[in-house]
Amino acid sequence: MKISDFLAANWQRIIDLTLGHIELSLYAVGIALAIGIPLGILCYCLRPIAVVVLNLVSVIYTVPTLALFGIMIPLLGIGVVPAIVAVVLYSLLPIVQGTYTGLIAVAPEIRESATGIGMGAGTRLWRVDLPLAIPVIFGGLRVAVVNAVGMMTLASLIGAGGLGDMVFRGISTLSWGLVLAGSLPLLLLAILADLGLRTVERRLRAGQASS
Amino acid sequence: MSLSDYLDTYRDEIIALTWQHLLLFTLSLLGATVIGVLLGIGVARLRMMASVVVPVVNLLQACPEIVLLAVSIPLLGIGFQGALIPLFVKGVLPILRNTASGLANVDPRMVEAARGLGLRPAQILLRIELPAALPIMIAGIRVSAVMLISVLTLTAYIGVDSLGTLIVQGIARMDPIPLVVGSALTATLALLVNYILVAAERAAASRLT
Repeated sequence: MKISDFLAANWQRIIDLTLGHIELSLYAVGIALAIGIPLGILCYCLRPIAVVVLNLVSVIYTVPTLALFGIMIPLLGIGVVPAIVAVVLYSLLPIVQGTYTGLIAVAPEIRESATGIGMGAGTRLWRVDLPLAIPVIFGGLRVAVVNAVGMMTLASLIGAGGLGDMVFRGISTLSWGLVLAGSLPLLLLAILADLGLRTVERRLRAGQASS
Repeated sequence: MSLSDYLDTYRDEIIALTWQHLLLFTLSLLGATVIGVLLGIGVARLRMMASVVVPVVNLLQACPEIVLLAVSIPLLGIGFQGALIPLFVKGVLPILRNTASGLANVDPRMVEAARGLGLRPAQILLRIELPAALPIMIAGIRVSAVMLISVLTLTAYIGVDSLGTLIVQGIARMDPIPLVVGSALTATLALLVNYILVAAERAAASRLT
């Protein structure tokens, strides 16, 4: 069967799996943001904690993604929840590190003048430090999103669905139509996410440089 | 079966898989380093090249690894080269990026001084610029190396043995023992390689000052 025939016959299923894949990835990155940004801020405010947290998230990052999914089975069983937990754990590093580096990189003169005009530590963090750190945080978010889209492919191995279903079924039955039907939307997703978020990141940086 | 029984029974197999993992790792990292450094030098030297190479490599970097591996089967066949080529493609970007930015950040006065002493461009590159950029280049190699060790586990799905084989067995049989053994060995290798290259980076940086 030609690949174009295959796509024509299966487009409904491909779209369903793609939407499911996007949904899973967005959940994971959303949760990782909700945990990672406060953690990054905490690292910035309490330096002794920073070493511990940053080392911990980088150790998690060195665990092979495949293994991370595997380890979820004895801990949380199979399905959507363990898949999302695995991707959240893996997405923490770019987000925590992005937040922390972005905050650290705020020029000391700016920080001093904020204190000089009478801002308290909390106000300064919220009104000065965080807005200035946004482009760097966004860079971390971009890495996390692209990673999550790729990593969610493996979620299929623990029964969470997504485009990995097609890719892995194609590999195990040696049918290239199936592999490509799963891979092409994955490629598109990853590339579009990367390009789109890169553009936003550049805008953010440019906006900051001009103001 | 307990963990110690498992290790006793399968010790030879585990050792063989570790060696195979290290072999694949060494070959793909070597390939990525050679290509990454050459492309990095090209990008630093020729603006034209930067505008072509960088977007292409960025796109390849965004591709999920399993997709690269899966697509390489019909193109390259099952087996060693089918696993190696997509991996080393994946490893090129961090090395390329760091080589280019390392070279761009070399103090221009040093290059000027070397030119004043009558060194030829090739000599300036080899004796002045590359040593100055070396710590940043090693940092790029480190990022690639840690990623490759971990990504290599996926080759098990396209029929090439690595420590991933144990992880896949564990997932398929819902047996945590091979899973934990495979994961722990891979993570240990990754941490080990990370520390070795951090030390190399420090050594290269301290030679500069």
